[in-house]
Amino acid sequence: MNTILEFQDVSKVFQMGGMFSRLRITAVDKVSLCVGAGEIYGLAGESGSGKSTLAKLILGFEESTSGTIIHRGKNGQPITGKEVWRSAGVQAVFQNPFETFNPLRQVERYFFRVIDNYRLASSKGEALERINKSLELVGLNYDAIAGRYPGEFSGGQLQRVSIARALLNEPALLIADEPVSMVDASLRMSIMNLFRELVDRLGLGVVYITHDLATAYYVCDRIGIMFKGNIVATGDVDKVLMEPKHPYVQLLRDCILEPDLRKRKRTRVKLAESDTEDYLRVGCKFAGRCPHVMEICRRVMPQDILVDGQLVKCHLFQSSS
Amino acid sequence: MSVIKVEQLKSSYVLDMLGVQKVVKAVNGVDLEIQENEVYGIAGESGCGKTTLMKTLFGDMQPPLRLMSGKVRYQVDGQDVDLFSLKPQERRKFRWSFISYVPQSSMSSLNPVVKLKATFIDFLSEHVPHEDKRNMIDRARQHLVNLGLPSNVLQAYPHQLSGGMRQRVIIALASFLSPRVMIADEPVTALDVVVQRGVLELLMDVQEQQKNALVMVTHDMGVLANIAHRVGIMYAGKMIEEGKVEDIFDRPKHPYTQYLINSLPRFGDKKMRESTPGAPPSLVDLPSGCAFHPRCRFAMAICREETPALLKVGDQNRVACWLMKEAQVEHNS
Repeated sequence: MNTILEFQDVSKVFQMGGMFSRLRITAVDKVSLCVGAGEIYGLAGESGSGKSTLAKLILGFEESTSGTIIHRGKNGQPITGKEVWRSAGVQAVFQNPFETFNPLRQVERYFFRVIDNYRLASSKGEALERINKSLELVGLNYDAIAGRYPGEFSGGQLQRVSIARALLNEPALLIADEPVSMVDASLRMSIMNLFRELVDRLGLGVVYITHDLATAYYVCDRIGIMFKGNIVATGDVDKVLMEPKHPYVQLLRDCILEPDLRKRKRTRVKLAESDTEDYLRVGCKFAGRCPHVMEICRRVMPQDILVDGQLVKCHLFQSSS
Repeated sequence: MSVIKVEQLKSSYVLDMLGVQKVVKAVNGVDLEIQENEVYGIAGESGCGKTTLMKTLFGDMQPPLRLMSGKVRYQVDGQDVDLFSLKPQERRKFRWSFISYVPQSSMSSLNPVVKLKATFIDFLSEHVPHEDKRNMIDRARQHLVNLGLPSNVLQAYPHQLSGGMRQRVIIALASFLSPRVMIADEPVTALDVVVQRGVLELLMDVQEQQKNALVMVTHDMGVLANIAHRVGIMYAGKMIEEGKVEDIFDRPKHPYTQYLINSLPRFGDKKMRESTPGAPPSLVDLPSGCAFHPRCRFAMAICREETPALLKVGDQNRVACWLMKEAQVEHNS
């Protein structure tokens, strides 16, 4: 499997308040990851865990404070900086398709604009052919979108259009930021299945960002669980979610309400009182809520430790390795 | 004993655009009975009329929403009250004392520029008149402590609290007068999984303490499986299936419910899930007959022409589908 995206110790620090403010929030804290061609990498975590900031770093909307981000196009050459845009290494699909598109503009204009920007076609006929090809990949065709405005589509359909637009320039990597949370429940799985099909057929890599672990389990090959800027556990989705090792992942798994009456919850949870505290911790950020907290957790940030085929950031496994 | 009865309720959004009238039939003939001390879950996708049904139950009809026909009856202390035969001022007195409402976004329902204390006083002075201000604060504090919330939240502004805490404060406010019915409209949708569970636990605690009816609207089937006693499934403004939670999840009858339940991803099972084919109908221009027929794999000739009624199947379940009708007839003959 060739790697198409690599993160090496990437950090992003936001400064809160004015110029002299001391409050610095590390939204992404020394994250290393890699995504290969032909795989779906899930990035899951609660709101404020830094997963969207990570997406912005991948897309180049934000610049990292430290560390290196390496994109590789289809030929395996590393691409950096502005080149990422021109060489068409990466495209994005966003959460709400109705916000992705301007309601006063026909959706086909977005397709022609992409073709213009990337100089993908030399004539109108060629452009149409190209548009048709990418719409067919998502189960639509040009006639279905010609002359129509975003408001005339249903959420599921428009999300498909949004995916087709992203596929126009044949990207190597697709970033999907919560692509189904605004789509009707009855259509959600068809979008998930579409991602799987595209990955298998076109061999692109997908970073699927979500807070819904059930769909992540369904569609992803590998997954990283984020907590306050750190990836605390990463590995095969079957390992990470079905045999959770990190206390935070265990808590998450325990809190998911499953649509199964035999798995009704009987125990109770303890809620954290404040968010910012967790961010400012020196040691493990989960120390404040962890049931297995030790003295060392409050002082030292744990390293990634390989346990049973998954990388876990936790002191509990320090001795065993 | 039922606390709310809804009979053939129809409420629509009537829009007048450049002389062309557009009627969005958001609630299109719903019969519903909510029992005392039960958790009733309503599920359905966005735009199927769940929230409009709740607004109508609550008696909160703001234009362009209009009641077209049907009745909402409250059973207040053994008395039968027809909600929409009352004047708006009279309706107001039932709010919060008989029926209360927990909305989805807690940030937009709390006043951002005053401390929560002021919100509580404002609320209490309206619904508990002739009481000393200091007494009221004490009662509010006591109530928060009873629900396991820190009483110093009264000194905080809404933005100082986390989303989960705000939602819990709203639940405290909604349960303050021990209403017989609590309506919760997507109360945990915008929250993280861990917080979500905490808020649901609080809602269940309140329901257990006060033994009132909780009507919970959500599109998250996991939430319903965990807390509901009975579940109603809505589609295009109609109730299409209603039954005990076990029956809905384990033996769904209506083809739409079957699709909905079978498409849910589950842990430890990576089997391919299929979505319902087609797209949800527009409420302005509903398909003839059964609104689900264009997407239904069992659609028959009669489905295109006539709308199936919500008929009893078994003891406590009701299903609106022509397939059931046929099964019944066969069974009887």
